[in-house]
Amino acid sequence: MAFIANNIRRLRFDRDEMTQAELAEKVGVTRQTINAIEQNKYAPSLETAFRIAEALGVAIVDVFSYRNSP
Amino acid sequence: MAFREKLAWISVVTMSLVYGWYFWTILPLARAGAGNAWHYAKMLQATIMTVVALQIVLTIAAAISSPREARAAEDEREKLITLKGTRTAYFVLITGALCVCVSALFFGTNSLLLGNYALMAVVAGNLAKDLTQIVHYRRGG
Repeated sequence: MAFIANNIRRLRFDRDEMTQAELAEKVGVTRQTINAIEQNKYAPSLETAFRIAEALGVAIVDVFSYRNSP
Repeated sequence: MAFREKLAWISVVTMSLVYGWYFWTILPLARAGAGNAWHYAKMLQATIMTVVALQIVLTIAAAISSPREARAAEDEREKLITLKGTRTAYFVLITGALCVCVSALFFGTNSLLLGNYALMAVVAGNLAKDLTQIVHYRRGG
């Protein structure tokens, strides 16, 4: 089954351990939503995906990728 | 726990307790055909006022404990969870309404009982909405 994987946890770590709450504030969603996205429990809308990439200062393809689970 | 999940819990607990008491008290009377519509209306008024008062107090308490989340608008995941809850509530409400129709058409149920069955369908729909939301908040989306 295909799913949308992400590198948010690593990218936050690379940015001085940015917290989920700080990222959520920049993106305009709740901390719980960032947590759900990080854990692949929720696939964000395209707009939110772009906002996350922008908040992390990278291109969207560096944050999200479409993968097939083994 | 997310602020809106707390609100769903508040709704589930207050509605279960207060409407549970209401139906526990009222249904035997309605089945026996005791009392009149005004008697039931007074009981229902007290029940609704109790639910509203409890929900206001508990919602204020929840907002005080997480002020930032309380001020923020619903984000896209929360809106989606709300819609999922509403969809579940719709099916429960429709099922309840059909049961009320069957009860009226085929079993000649008295009007006091029918009114309370209809109210029960509304309460069950609301509980289904809140419980669905809680499940999705627990799952993450």
